[in-house]
Amino acid sequence: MGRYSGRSSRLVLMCLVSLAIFAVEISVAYVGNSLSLASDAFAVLSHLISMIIGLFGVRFSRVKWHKASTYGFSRADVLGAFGNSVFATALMFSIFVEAIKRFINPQKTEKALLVLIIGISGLFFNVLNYAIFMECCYCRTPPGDTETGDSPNDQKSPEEGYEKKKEKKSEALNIRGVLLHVMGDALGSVVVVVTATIFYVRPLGDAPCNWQCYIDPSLTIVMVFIILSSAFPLIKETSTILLQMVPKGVNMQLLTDRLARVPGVSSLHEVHVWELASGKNIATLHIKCQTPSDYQDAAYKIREVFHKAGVHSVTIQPEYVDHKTSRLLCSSPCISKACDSQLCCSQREPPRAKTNGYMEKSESCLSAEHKDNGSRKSDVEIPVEDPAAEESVKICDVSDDKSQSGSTRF
Amino acid sequence: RCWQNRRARLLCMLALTFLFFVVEVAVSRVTSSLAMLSDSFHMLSDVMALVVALVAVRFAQRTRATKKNTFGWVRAEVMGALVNAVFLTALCFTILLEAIERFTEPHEIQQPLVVIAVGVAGLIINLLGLCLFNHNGVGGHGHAHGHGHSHGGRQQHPRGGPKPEQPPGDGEAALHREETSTLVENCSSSNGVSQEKLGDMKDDMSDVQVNGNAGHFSLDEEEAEEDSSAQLNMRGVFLHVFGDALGSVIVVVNALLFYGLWNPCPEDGPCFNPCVNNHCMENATLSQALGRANRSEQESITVAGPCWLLYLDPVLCLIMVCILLYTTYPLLRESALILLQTVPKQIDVHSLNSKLRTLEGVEAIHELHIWQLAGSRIIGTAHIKCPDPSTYMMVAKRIKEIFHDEGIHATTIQPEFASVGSESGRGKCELPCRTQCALKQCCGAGEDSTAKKTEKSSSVSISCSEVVIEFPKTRRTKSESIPSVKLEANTDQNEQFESSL
Repeated sequence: MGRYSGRSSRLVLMCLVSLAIFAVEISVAYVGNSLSLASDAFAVLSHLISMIIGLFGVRFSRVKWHKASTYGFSRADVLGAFGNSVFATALMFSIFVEAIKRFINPQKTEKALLVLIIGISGLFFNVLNYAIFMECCYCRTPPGDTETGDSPNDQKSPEEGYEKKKEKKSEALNIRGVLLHVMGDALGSVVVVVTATIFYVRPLGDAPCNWQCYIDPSLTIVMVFIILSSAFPLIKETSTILLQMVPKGVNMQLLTDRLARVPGVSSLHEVHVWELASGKNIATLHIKCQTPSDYQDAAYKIREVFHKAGVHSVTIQPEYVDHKTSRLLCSSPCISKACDSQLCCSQREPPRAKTNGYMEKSESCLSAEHKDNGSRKSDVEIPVEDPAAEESVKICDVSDDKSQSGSTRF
Repeated sequence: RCWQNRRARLLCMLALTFLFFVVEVAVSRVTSSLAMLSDSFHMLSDVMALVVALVAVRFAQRTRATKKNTFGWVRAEVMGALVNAVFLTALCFTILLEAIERFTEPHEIQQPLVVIAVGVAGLIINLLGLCLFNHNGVGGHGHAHGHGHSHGGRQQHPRGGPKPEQPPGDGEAALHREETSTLVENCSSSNGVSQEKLGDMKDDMSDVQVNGNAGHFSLDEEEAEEDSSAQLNMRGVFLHVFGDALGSVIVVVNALLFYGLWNPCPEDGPCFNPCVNNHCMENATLSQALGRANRSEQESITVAGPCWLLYLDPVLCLIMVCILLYTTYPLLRESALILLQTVPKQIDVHSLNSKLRTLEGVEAIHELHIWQLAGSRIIGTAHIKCPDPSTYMMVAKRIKEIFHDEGIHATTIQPEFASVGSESGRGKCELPCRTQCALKQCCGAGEDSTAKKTEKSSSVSISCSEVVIEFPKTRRTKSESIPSVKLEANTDQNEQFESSL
């Protein structure tokens, strides 16, 4: 938290000033009957809240390991950004409603001079906020981003050309969420200033409302749309991560094809790729191999494939092929079939090829088998799974009768 | 079946609410009452919440993996719940601001009768909605989940017998296992659930788990599908409807009191309204009015009704906001915890770690990750270091059993085989990605398998050395001598890896 410790007092000061500005703006808004100033005050307060959320998010996401969360809280960033954008959307919705009401029931802005002054100072403060925030929190790049492109082992360098994967510069999503609010603030202030200027220059007095009264709500609606248009991409991006979707740079089809071509792999299934937080991709998969040495060979190559795809944390579970069981089904989802509903992906439906990474190769297994007979020693015993017995035992019987074949075997 | 029910309920409520929204807008135009218009927009926000929940339900039915999402879309409901919770918080926020505005500028209610009528109609609709969504077993409280779940269960699945058949001689352990598995199913929510509460249900529930035979299997699975992630989603909707109901109650109460007690200013005749004007002007006007009027006319000056009535509305609104925030916070917290990939509450990672480590044949464990996908689907991954593959074969099943006991059914276990002579216990990952990828790994490598970590900032400097993987030479026919690199680990800013190869 090096960069923050010096700045946190400054940020706290910013929060306090925001609060003061909010109070002033909202009182003047009611006195002057200006919708845009009221919505600007709204925006300032929401900015405050979002900044707090954002700061918490960034603070939390530094935590790498915690007993409550094995992944640390690196997702806090993403969640904070998501929460911020949804909050901003909801606020924009209510501001929109207010603008509609103003259309139906137009009102004049009174005491235009006062509103103008407050509006200008609000704008100034927002720009200041933006500048401070940009300086302190936005442009930090984590050290050592770029890849150097060495291969792990010169002797085993792969044939294919090394694809240098440029790391995408992942701006902290959370900071983007906060900036969304800052921008909203600034726009709101602009609207306030414009409206107040018009009313100051051409005061209406006691005359009924003419076109001047409609400027306020129309500009507000424009502001709402601008902010929403920048909130939605952020929502989309964060929900991609939160929904455990495949990260954008990864092409599952291509990836599973390449994986299936790795020698030693008879089939793969349960391939999962997801993004923990910006840039950190995680994958797990189960592969079926003939022998343990196959596995070790294949494991290294599999990691390489993943590395090129940009996925750097991979967990590979080997399962050993038995000719009696179907190659495609996972040999060891859990210890029995009854747990199926709690698996992340159900095993019961027949696996479609190419979904969930179910892939099977028929030819390479034969070649792998004959690779070296020396490794097929007796200590690597592959007990035979008895499919008939497996089907008859349906209970998720966890007890210590290991003699029963009710569960998985390797 | 179950999900159809959910969707049907959501759709029905959606139609009703939208209809009412239209009606309210029309009425507000007719009576030109702005308050009604704002109330109608609260209904609109309700509609949006229902839409969000519907979309989430639609998505979450697709549990199969797709190209875009290898886990299927089961998380959608948790997201829907979070969106609804945040939305509700934002709404509370705006209601708060409106209430503050009312404090400074109190309004009278015009035409209280119309307001009462519309308010009662809205209340009826909201109560209907509450019933609809409460029937799901939501109840608004965390610990009611289990009850709701088993309630639905009892309706659908006739039990063969009160107690499940337990394997003989292992009663204690089996019972414990059932408890944990039902705990997982029933309460992914609050930590307030004690085992006693579930005690009477757990037998039935474990019936589902233990004795699931092929005939009932599909039913059991569907019931299990209606699990806590769906409940989270429904809870979000329930809270919205609840907030709306409270709003309607406030509107009705306020209008009733107004109708009964308020003494409005008549159209003609001098009238003095002490509540609306400035304090400064108040005394001036009063004294002027009194001075101008004769003594005989003093009685005809009407003073508008008790002022505290005008402040009733904002006060009630404030109370409502507090209630709503108090009930929304648990939902927010729960869905946020799932989305943050935290370990589910009922699982203790340390004890799991120690259980795994005490198995013989297991030298070290690292990269142990447990997280909850949604509902009762808990996923775990671990790297297990074993001396050689045959040992691994022996312990593999036991490892899976241990995970299963904790309720983690989707696991991926990666065996790593240490070369002879490596230190045991210092489990560094044998197969990390390359050095320079360390920043992009999910967790900084260099975790000690025995360490209890709190905060660890692992920023890695890229050195020229590479971590290579050495395979046990006995297993390979090609003799490749791969130089192993030794790096040192310190907790400094520049952290490098130590590989015990």
